[in-house]
Amino acid sequence: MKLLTGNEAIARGAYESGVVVAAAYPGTPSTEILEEIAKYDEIYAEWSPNEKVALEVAIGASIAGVRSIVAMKHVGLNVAADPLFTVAYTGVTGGLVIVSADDPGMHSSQNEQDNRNYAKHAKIPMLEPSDSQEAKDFVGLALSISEEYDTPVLLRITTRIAHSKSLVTLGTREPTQAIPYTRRISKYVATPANSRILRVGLEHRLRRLTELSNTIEVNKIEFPEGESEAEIGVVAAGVAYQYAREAFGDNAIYLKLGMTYPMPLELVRQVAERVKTLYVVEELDPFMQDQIQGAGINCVGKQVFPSIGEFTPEVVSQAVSINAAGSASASGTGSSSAPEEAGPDAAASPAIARPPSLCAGCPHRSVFYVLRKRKNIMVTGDIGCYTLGSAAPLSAMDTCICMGASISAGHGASKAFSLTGRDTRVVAVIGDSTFFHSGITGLLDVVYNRGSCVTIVLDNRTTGMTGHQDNPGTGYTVKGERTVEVDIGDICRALGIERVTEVNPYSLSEIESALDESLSLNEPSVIVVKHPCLLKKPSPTDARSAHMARTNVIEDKCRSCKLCLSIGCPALSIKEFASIDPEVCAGCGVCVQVCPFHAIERETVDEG
Amino acid sequence: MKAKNESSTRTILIAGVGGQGIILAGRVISEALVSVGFDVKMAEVHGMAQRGGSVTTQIRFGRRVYSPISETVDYLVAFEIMEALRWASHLRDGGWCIVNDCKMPPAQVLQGKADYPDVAVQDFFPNAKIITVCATDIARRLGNPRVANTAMLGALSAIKPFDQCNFANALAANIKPRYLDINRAAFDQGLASVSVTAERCT
Repeated sequence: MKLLTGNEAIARGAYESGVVVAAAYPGTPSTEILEEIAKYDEIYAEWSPNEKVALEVAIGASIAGVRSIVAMKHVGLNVAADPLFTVAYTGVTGGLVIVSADDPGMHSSQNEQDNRNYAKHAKIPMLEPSDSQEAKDFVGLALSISEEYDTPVLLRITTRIAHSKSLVTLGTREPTQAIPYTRRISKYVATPANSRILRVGLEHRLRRLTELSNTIEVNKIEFPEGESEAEIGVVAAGVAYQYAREAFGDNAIYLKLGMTYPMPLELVRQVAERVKTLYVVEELDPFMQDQIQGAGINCVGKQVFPSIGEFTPEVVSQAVSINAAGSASASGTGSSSAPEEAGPDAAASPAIARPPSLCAGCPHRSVFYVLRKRKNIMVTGDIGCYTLGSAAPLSAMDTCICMGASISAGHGASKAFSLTGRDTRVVAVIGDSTFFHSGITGLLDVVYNRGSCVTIVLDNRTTGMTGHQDNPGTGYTVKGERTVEVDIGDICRALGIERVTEVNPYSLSEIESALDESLSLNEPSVIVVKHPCLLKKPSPTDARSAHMARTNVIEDKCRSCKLCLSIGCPALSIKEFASIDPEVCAGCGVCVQVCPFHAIERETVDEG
Repeated sequence: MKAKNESSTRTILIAGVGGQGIILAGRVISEALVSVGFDVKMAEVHGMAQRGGSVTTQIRFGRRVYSPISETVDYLVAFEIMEALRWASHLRDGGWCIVNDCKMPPAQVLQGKADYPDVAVQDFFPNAKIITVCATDIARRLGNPRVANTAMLGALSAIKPFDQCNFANALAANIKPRYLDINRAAFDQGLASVSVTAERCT
């Protein structure tokens, strides 16, 4: 028995089930799945440039006859949705599992979409583990279902499964099997003629899967000891089942679902007949509730439970007590009156908010400091640590929509401004990993369609926010093997950008002049701001800047003007004079350049 | 303050600031609890948390644990004073508050836009058993402020049922060998610094 997170358990499940190929793009809360898989020599693992590529890699491996797995965060499945919907038609050869890690409560995401809807939408089966043991076991189960029913399988987890540790019994690895390859054009070439036939098969498969869902052992009715009927019945899956167990205790009948699509409506009916009130406990959308009610079975769901945010045992029990008190509308479907996500009690606590911020010495800070001072520009941002450039006091970002949107949305905004006679300029800001993910196609669009937006690539030589994963620009694979180090400047030039400038983030004057030049042009340009993230040990080819040196305030010169605070560095504060916390300061020297009175000096400055 | 949790499952909330080693501390406690036969679940939060924001980790233990999280906690282990205040309302009456005597001003305070709350921890937890640990000072004296988390674990190990746990093995399993000695020292000093208080409180 070992304590594993759900993500570690899924990796272990992939290992034990004989998976041969694994692919992913990092994204909280899914990232550690591939990081852990990469530790097994028996499995080929890769960081793909984006989730669509990752799923296609796994599809190819499956068609070639081996078991494969692909993992991504919920919004990643939007990127991978194109292959998803068609591989549902073609089916598989080797088992194919698609892990979607959803983030109710948006701990680290831009939205809280409920990806269970993808199973229904794409017409593929879905499993939902409720702890780490099931996370491990369900990988093997999903692969078996995938192969037996000739379908990809969605393994849907949430943050509390991905990042919660619980005890897991480990097993050994099944022998790897490679199914002999034969060309099967009518199955794998999705032309209209073939797809019309596959489309019929898809419905037939769903009917067989519905039968499976009503009989599979992971969908089970749990009775109170010695009872076959109860006041309360509960339908739940995933971590919501654990919350429900604590909220309802041992006297309810539980329909504990491991397979939630297709829904086992026969089992639901059996439970409904044995209870007075049937509760459907699910976070986010009324996914199960709608299907249960659609089958004509009465239940209580989103009339009392929130559809926004995460549940806790307390959220569930409070909602139920409100319902028992009869204050809930029996016919209501909204959730506006339902209790919302639990958090610190702001009203009762004198604690001041402590939001995340760019680290001391972060190479992104200076760029936002420079951008904030510019008038009449729009800064289109992207997904990564640098989204924190939108936070005060930098407040230097206008938009953040999704991976890669900085450049393409910036292009659209730029066209809109110029077509309507406004001289507002657009600067797109994107990180290195996000550029590889989906920035390249946006930049191609800018070049092709004669745009003029300025693109700044913040190249910190890693995928920062998710915890330092390699990417095509770092020169290393997820297995730590040396590989080609793709140069961002070369890509931009190859796309047709003529003006590509590389600057040092710790020189404000370099950034200022590069930006001046780019904004003076009536053509697209790229500024690559290159320096490794300070939290990561730099690779041998990424030697850290030699300019780092501790800084001190010369109090005689400080006029307490607070200008240095405008860079938002956590090492800087002001009492009587500006003050630098030596335990926090990374010695980047940006504050030295910001102070108009030369009141901040560096201890040793090595200009080499 | 919340009423006592009726179930046999108990909850530890570790609260602090991103970068203080909260997840590591949670893993060590979890493994130490498993070693004495508890069922354990631990909920971590990753992602944005590393960038200096408020961070929490929960550990729940008992005969059989269902949910990895709970809004009512029995032990609040705060690595920073204001983080203790932030989560105070979740500590049940009679629960333990183990707090590092350390203030880390948030951005608003650094910017001069707010004052760090001027509240004595004792006043804010009238119904809790409080242990104050100078964990950051212990860590600084040992030469590495980052081992304050292990000093906090030492303090926690002074009270039941953690005094029964094998923390030595859990530390060795989670900490790189070259940092093990300094972490052991921090643990021992954290424990020694509170033993008197704990006896009085138990």
